[in-house]
Amino acid sequence: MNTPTPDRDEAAEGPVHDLLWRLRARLVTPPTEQRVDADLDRLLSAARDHAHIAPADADVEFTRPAAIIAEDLPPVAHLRGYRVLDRVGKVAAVFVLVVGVGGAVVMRPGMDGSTGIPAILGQGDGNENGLFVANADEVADGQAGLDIDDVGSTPSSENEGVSDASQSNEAPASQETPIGTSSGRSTDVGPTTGSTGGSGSTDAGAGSTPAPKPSPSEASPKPSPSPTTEPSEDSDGFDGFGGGRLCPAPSDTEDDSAEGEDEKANDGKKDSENGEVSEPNPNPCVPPKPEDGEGEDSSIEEEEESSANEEAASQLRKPKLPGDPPERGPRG
Amino acid sequence: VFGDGFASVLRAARRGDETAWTRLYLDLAPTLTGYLRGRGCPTPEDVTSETLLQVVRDLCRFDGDELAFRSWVFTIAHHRLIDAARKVSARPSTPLPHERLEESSPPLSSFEEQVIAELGVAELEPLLRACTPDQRDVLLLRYVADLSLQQVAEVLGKEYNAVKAVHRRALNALRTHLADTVYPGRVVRTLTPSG
Repeated sequence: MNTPTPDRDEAAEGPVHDLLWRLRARLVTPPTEQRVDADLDRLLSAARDHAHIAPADADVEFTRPAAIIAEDLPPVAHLRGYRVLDRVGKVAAVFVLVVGVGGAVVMRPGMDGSTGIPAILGQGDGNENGLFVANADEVADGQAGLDIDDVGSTPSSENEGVSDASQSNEAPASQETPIGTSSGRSTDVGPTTGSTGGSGSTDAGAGSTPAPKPSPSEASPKPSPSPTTEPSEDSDGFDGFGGGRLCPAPSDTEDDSAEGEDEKANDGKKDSENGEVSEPNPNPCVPPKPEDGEGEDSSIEEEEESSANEEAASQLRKPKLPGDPPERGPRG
Repeated sequence: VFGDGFASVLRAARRGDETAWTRLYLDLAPTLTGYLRGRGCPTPEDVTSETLLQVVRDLCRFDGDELAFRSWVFTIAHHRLIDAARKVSARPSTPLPHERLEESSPPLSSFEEQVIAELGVAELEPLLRACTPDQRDVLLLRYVADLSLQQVAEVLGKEYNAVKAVHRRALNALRTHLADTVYPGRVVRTLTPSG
């Protein structure tokens, strides 16, 4: 029985074995040195890229069963994922930063005046600049700027006349008053006057452009014969130029007194409690037109005012002595 | 063949050790190239390099001894050979004749190599041509790659009995070829199931 077993390879013996040996010797040849160098360079570079396990842990890792090693492989993939996410996050952060800076540069105010942000008010010269910028935008937009300019420049002298009428004796002294002193209080005046220009516009008129000196001819047609307001810190000799204010003060007492004086001058009737005026002046900075029947009164008042101004001027000409009592206004 | 030192070499290769990969390359590359060349691969050296690169990438997934490692490497080489054959069929090229291949072959130094060179490729080409592709695969993996029939079956993805039968038929084909060409006046013993 020569039935070959499966593992027997006797058929390759003899000439066939010799033939197969020659076949193997001819086919299996060592590669050239150049080929070896090129292939080893590629293999070693790839091996370095795929060598994920630290040398210290490698001996421990590969002595364990393959199942445990397979379970340890996924964390390596997770680390790769975390690295990718880290890179993506960094790129996203840089992108957001660049977009934010670009947006800030595009939206920067003052580039063309249309997107101007109002400057901070009440900072000396910067106040004027800020108002100028804000008003320039309004002028560009519409009519509001014209009203602002009108209120800020011309009516100030007329209001001065009104206040001069109430404190006519101090009017010449107020001519020497620095204009800048009125800017600090003018913000209090605006809301009470209810003028169309608003407080800011009044400030602009008083602070930016010096108001012209009041002349007797420009005095208000409704002067108060005797100021009833109590002397305050404002009446220290520097309030003659409208008391440092272009409009009445916001305090209730002053409002009542001023309105009461107006009532006295106009109608001879005091209505200080309710403060109502028969025909409220929409813009107190602009003098109301004299109505019928008041023309004579206004002429008389002008004469009285001129005489009062002359008296005040004469008092100012007199040199003050140290013993003289302080001036308390034109009472009595 | 590494023998008992194969485990340490494999650990070092997983760490990316240069010496380990050099040893693995010098041990595997000649047999891989010979197998691919015997199978008619037009660029056996290139396919060998691609095969070893694939081994580097997938080494973390391998677990086994040296025989299993060699079987795994030749499995990759067999798949690469199929891919190369598909590429050649898609873009056919004219192969060079063996005379020109012998002229362009590198110079041989050792006496053994000179003797082998005297055999000539032309003598072995009809020998392999006498076998079918399946028989050629089995013969090359068995005698060039030094794999057992069981490992050959694993590499080719076939049953062991089927590979054994193919191997037997391949040897009979070689004997017939030798009887007809190399030894025309001699009777070459053929292997029959009955003996």
